[in-house]
Amino acid sequence: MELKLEQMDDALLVRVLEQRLDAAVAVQFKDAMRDLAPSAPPRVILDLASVRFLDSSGLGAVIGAMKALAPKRLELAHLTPNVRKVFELTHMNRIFTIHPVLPVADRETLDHRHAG
Amino acid sequence: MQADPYTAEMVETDCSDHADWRELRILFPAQHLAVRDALHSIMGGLGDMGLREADAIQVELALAEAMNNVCEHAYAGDNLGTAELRVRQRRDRLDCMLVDSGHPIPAGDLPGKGLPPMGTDVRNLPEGGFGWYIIRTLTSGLGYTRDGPRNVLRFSLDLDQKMRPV
Repeated sequence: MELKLEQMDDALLVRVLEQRLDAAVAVQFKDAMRDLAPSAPPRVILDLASVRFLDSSGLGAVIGAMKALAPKRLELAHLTPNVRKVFELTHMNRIFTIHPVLPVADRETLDHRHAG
Repeated sequence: MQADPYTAEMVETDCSDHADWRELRILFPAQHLAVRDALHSIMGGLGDMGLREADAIQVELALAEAMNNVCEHAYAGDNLGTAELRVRQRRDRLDCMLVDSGHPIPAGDLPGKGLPPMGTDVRNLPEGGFGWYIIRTLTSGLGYTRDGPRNVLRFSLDLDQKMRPV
């Protein structure tokens, strides 16, 4: 289970660097999120851009991560079409804040643009 | 046929006496990582048979849920075993059969007729109970029988776009 953490201005960005968030890795993912919860800022954004497949176990683990972080907020970003479909099927798109793009300026991206 | 415990094996059945269908079969160990491999093989096979991208997600998702159920319930705990998935191509749908020799599904209706209760705040959101709901939502003709020592789950996946003709 590979997660990449980046501190943003007002949030912790957690990039899931896995193509599949499924039954094979759901427990590992939930444990990793639970481990980082105590030191996380009040807002955590889970970037799922790399995840091309999510099943009900993966969905349960994302929900478990949200519960482990509460009352801190877990928001989602960059859902691929297949992942979005699972959230819509289960109506979990009504529970989570889902951003099509990262909601706060990505410093790295800004630096890159300024350099160009 | 004995499956290697860490790989899945797939055969494309020769259906020369059944001109209007062909079938993929895969035997896999009922473990989550093996389900990944089995899904990879079966989705590759279906892709070669002309399954379109738009239909592939619902097929992969429904198959994953059914196969993972076998790992988690039929072969719960130390009760390891193998399962067999058969996917038969029809003109506008896939007829699927999943067979295992694990614990039976408890008598009565299959679960998943509705979504699990959403609770009143974040802390009591459900983390499970979505799998059968997803299967029911994506499939038609869902049926389960206990055949002697075996569980047999049947369902069909309707396709929006036709696969290549047999």
